Amino acid sequence: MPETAASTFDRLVDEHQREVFRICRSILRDDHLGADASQDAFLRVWSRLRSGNLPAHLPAWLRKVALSAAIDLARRRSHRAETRTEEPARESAGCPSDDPARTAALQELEERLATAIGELPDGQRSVFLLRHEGGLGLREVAELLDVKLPTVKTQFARACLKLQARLAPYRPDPNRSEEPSS
Amino acid sequence: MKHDAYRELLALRLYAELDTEEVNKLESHLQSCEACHAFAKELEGGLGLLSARERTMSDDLPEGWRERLLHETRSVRSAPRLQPWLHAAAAFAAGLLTMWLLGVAAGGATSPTTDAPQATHGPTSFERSSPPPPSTGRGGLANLGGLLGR
Repeated sequence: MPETAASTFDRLVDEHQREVFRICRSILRDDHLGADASQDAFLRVWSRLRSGNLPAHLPAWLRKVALSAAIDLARRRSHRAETRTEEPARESAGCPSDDPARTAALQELEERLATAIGELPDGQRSVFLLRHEGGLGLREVAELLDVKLPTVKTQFARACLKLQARLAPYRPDPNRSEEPSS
Repeated sequence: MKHDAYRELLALRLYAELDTEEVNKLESHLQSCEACHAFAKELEGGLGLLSARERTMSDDLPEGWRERLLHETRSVRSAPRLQPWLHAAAAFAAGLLTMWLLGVAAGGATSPTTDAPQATHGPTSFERSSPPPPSTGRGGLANLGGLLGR
């Protein structure tokens, strides 16, 4: 039975929503904004689907749509003069910590990281965010940004080194045990 | 290869982005360079911690996201089935109306004395009238306009 546009769309959402969300969230640095941009991205997909004009290499195209939607939303927000430093840092996610002090130290590190990322050159920032937070491999980032892989690797590495230098004074005490004492 | 280049390789190693050749080159260098070895430890204690935390973050979208998306598309999903029919019907009706109005206008301009009586006799006058010139496609409709022009 041939797939309808609606069922095709549902399948695309199921298969790609997480990746689209990761990309959007990495650019916008906010879960709710990332979700909004993901909606925009999939509405663009729906529009292309209805016109019967989906590209052949769908995953790569979807990443570009996600990136475009995130950048558009970021631009709209910047026009409303919302600065990065005014955004609240993302809440800690992932594994719960049994060491509140260490968790607090890591959270401070993340806040410092957010500020430092904002100070990176545009190219390095995009590459870093897409890799570090978007979860894309550097090969996928290169494809998404239409940049050669060696260039992307260099930009990413240099971004890492700059950020490392900025974060060095705020590193958690390496002598603290990571495992909680029973 | 300068130390800066090796430090870049160390940063890439943190994210498992080295190819085989780069891994071998770096490992070979680390065996003999204390400075880079120490820097590798620093990286693991700084950016490395954050990269590990990012990997544990959930990729789940907020609750209700999918429902809102499908609601947005659902209102559009049903519309496309109606529009072609509506457009075609509207275009056809507009065409008929246009032709009729043109026929009325042409009938009134060319035969001002033959409106009401002919209209009254409708089909009979139509049958008696001379055949329309073949070049005008609206001959039949002009006559139709005459029939309806009462």
